[in-house]
Amino acid sequence: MAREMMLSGCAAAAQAAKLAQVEVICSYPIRPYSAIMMELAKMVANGELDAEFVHGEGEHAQLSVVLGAAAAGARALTGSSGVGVTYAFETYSPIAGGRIPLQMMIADRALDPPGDFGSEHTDAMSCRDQGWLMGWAETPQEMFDNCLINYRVGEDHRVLLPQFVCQDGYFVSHIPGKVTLPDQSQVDEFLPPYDLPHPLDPKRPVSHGPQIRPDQGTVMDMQRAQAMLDVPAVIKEAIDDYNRIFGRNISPFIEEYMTDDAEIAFFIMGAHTMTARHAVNHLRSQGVKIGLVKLRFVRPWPTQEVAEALSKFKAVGVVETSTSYGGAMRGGNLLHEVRASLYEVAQRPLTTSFMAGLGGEMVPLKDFYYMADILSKAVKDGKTKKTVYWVGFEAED
Amino acid sequence: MNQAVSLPDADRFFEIRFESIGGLGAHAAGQVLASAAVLRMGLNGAHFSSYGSEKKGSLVRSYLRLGLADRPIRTSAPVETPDAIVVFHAALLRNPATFGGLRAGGTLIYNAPKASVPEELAALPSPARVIRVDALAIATKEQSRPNAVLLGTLCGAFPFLDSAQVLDALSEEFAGRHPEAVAANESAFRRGAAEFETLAGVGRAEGDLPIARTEPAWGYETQPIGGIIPEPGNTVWNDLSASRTGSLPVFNRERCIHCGLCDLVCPDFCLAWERGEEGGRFERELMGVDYRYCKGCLRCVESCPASAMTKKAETPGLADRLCVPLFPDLIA
Amino acid sequence: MAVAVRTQNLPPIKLIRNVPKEEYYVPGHRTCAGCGPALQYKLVAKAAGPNTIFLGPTGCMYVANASYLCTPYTVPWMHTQITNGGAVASGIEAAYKVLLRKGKRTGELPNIIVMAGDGGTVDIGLQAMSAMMYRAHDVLFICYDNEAYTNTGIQTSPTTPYGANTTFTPPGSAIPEGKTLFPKDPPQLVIGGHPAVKYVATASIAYPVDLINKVRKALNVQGPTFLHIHCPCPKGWKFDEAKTVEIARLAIETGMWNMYEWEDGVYRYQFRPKKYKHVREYMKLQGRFAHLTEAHIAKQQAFVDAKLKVHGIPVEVPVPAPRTQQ
Repeated sequence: MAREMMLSGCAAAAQAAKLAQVEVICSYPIRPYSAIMMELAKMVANGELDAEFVHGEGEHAQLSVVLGAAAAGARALTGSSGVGVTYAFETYSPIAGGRIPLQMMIADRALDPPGDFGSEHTDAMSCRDQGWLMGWAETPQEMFDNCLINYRVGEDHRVLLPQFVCQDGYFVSHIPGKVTLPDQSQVDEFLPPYDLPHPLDPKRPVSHGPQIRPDQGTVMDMQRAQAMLDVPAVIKEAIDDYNRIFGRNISPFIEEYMTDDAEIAFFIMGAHTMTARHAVNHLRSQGVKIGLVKLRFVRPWPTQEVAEALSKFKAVGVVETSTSYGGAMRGGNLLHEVRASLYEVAQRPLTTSFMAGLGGEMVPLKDFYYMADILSKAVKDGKTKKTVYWVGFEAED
Repeated sequence: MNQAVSLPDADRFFEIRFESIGGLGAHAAGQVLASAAVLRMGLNGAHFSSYGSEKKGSLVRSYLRLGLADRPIRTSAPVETPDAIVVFHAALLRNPATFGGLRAGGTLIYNAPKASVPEELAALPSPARVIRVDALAIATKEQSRPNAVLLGTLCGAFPFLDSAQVLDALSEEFAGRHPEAVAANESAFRRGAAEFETLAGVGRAEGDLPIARTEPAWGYETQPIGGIIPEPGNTVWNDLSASRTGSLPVFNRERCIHCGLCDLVCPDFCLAWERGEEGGRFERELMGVDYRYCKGCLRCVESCPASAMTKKAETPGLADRLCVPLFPDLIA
Repeated sequence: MAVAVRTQNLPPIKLIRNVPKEEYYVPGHRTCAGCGPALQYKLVAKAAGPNTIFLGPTGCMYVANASYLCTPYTVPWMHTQITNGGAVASGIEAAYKVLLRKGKRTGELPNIIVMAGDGGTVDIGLQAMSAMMYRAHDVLFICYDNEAYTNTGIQTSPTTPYGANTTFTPPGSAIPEGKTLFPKDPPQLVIGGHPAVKYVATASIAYPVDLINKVRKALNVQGPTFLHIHCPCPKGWKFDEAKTVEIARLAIETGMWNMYEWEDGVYRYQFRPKKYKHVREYMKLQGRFAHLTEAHIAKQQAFVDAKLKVHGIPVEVPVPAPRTQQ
């Protein structure tokens, strides 16, 4: 019997793990993701979840433990935030290249220095080249959905890739929202049991990860690249099934909001999308032809879908909550991929980057109105004044 | 600075490839020759080697390119069409890739005892010059290393290389760390330059030899996923006999007491055992050595209490004659 | 939560005749001729048998064994980073516990053995090794100690002896002894600080039957266990590869290596010489010590004496008159 609960993003992720019947969990405390581990620890202690709860000695160890567990044939889960994510960095490529589909829940946190509990996407975004699936949730409900969807996609034999399932620290991880929890039987219909093709099993011995020569390396890299190309089809299938079984209406790669006759739009992902929607509602009521495109998956990046959606507009503001110091256009990195996606489109919108929410700050409605204003002016002028705006820092434009 | 030497063909680079295994000094030889060419012979030169993990016995290829001073060397791709190939270990002759790309008019120098003309040499181009020198024997006698001898032979075979300068470079290389080796190296070098034989009518092939490039074993669609090896224990396909450096253990069945000590000290599992005779003294009996895997560490010889394992110099064909295969069903 | 109880009991062997005949570490691997670690690997694989999973942190026993699309292991094996052998093994053990409990796998908990070099045990791998011991996973952690990072061209590690010449501790006029630091003692790091550990032992390729028995004992014990195996390295220590076993024996005869078991707080010693030889007898055969003076050798002897004292072993080393300074 499906039931509704008010759950934070971390608690929602824990419920998803429980329904996915995760078998090995490895914990290490760091805020704000730890909340999921505290929930899971209680479930295991009370016998609600039959899993091995291993206390890792650090984030690098967390990833190593779940790598071993998943390679041995168990569905495995771990997570982290901020510098914990980057401490484990060495392990990400071996896991993805070894084609071991485990799941890491990231509740974002700004990277040191100095210590800052606020949310920035930089921690996970720094890892986006490692060959994992990666995407963000806007709400606790979405967090719940994404955990289940990622297990299903990652473990599919056509994919076999690990997954970063991300949510903004505090804004999604700790603020409760309404979550509809399905039946175990519904989840079982959606998510088959974990089945790795070549687990570590003395009955069928294999060797994982031998040394190779450079000429064999190219082949492995190509194989990993091909796997990423095969992912979108699997995502579509999985989300179609998800919508059918759970009575939902999720669109796989991007979601368009009020874009029908919009001239300008925000391109955004994560927690602040909610505020952006309110801003769009308000601006529409004032006659501004504005819409919003939300991104679900950063990896694999949905080039075609992004290009098609954004080419409708005259100007797009890419709202970024991550830093990439020294990168092209001295802003974040979402703009790079947006512009790359639009490169071949004949009628390209003006694009500009808005650095907002850094340090974990709130992005209030007035900031979105400010961004919309800049986009409207750009349409009038036929060009943007700047490629990057650090929202809150700019003098009157 | 001496007068710049000229190259046999002024229009292109002169390229040399050393084929060796780790531990024989091929890399050092290449370095010496390159530094002599650049610093003392007025040439442009580049040298680099390709190898795997830093241990004895693994394949080493060392590449040299020499060019005239006014011609910068902008490539560091492996030498695929050498003018000269120097083979440091005769067992490498069994691998066709050793000769890969040799020019028809090129030169092959190989290290082997007198009267050793392995049949694999027939694969060489018929106009190619084939030179044999017993570098191991000379090196042992002079208490030097095969690389010093082979450098001498290379200079002897190619008079355009200023052997006095190469010898100086060789001496300088060792003067700092191993001064006692300088004199020995010089003797070895000079003997290498003098005591080589040029063989006639060995190669039978026409024209330049085709380039040997390693192809990956699998493509991206056929490679087992994630780089796993689904066939455990497939190292048995490797032939390690090229990693022996001159000696091997010879088994005398008469003296053996089948105590098994040799097996407990052999890191490589080279010893073939059979069930003992019905009603006999021994439950299991040692049949012999599978030389495919023996690296010649001779620990079995050191540990044998009955002197049933003795150390002998390896001559061509000896291992094949004495070999008792471990996996006769798998490997022909 | 019920823990998978190990019912396997690998029997000890008394004679060479009883050494198991099956091999799980087949030939064709590209280790150096006379490789000490390869020999211990072969013996460990024999001792453990087919129901085994090996973990191979990066090192010689990874790169030299599993290279270029082939591996010598006929049991499951997985590469780990040099940093995390203990952690990955923990995950495998946890997975097997839950999979057996749920009936997704049947049979015994497999032997899970980490084959780590000295660096992967007490240097970069120390954290993961210790945490695994602390968390009581049923895993055997083996340190194959060849006293250096050898795969990368012989660099010093925390178990490299004082005075050894490595590429990071070359002797020179400013630093005549080469290595100035004294080594860590891996079994002592484990003993006493990890309450879940019940069995720790040292072994050597000089005594293969003893090695096999210690492996079996460690595997029979429920919970985490630790073996420290001495594996002389001909290339790294610069000696003739035929002498590997002789060098390993001399290490024991001079006290540079001690053979013991520690079980539930009790030490048992094996192969203790009645009279220890001077460390010089061991060091003079190895090129890595060739540059040392009498003063350095005396420091080495003093270190060994102190170590033996800690173990309560009376040291009767005939002390010859010092030679003139070299």
